[in-house]
Amino acid sequence: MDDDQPHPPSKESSAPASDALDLPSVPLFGLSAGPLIAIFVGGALGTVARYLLAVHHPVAQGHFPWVTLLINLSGSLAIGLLVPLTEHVGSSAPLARPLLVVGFLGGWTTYSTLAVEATLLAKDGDIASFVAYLAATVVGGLLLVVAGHALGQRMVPA
Amino acid sequence: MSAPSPTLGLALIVALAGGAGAVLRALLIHHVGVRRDDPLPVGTLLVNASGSLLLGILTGLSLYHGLGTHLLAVIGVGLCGGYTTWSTASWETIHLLHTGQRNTAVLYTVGGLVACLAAAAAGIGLTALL
Repeated sequence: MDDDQPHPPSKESSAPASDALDLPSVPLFGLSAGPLIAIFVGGALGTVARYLLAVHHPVAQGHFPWVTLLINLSGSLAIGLLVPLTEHVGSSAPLARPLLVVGFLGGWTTYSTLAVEATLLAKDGDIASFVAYLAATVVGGLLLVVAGHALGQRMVPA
Repeated sequence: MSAPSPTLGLALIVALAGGAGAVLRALLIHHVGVRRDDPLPVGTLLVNASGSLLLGILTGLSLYHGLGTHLLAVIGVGLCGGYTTWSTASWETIHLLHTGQRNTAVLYTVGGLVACLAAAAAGIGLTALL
């Protein structure tokens, strides 16, 4: 540590954002080795957690994909909660967001499986399940981001 | 999506593939984000649509051409799953609504769904023609 510089100027705005929703969740200030390793570790853990859940609760083609729905809805709630919390601890734990938000939640949730499962429902002619699956994912996901964010903001001291 | 009974080794490889997918996603979104000053999250759109296309192809290969379940688990569940993301997409939509960009939010959410479903369908359809 360099004692000549006890308070290095922050590259970001020194005042934390008053509302985490003003932030896009993906950092745009450069990805160095530390955050990339954190994203790799978090992504590996989130992906294997989803894989093990899917293996133990297999949903046959033609059935409603409730496992992926629950995974993606829980991920929306968690990202709403975790962006304000990781923003709050950002200076003391800068790897929290790459590890938990970009890595773990990114690996836990999936858009590709959502798209393929919905396509297979449509291909099978099950339009009711197709519409219900997409509506539940989108409407539920957006509402849960808002709910998670409200909860997260309340947990952060003003 | 059916998956093979997991061995520790297979689960480990799925994990590594997921980690690689997540790093690829972060790099691509970052790269697109710093080059374009666009309120529309183009990087996330590109990631999710390309991942949906790849998983569509793998699913079609599995349905019509007997692709092995282990490969489907590693590349499909692992790499494509770690690469694509629903959580960031849903956050970005709420972020756009919160910052008053309602039209962009609707375009992003509906356009993203249409693009990813079309990509998945194209991937499955292409393999059916093989």
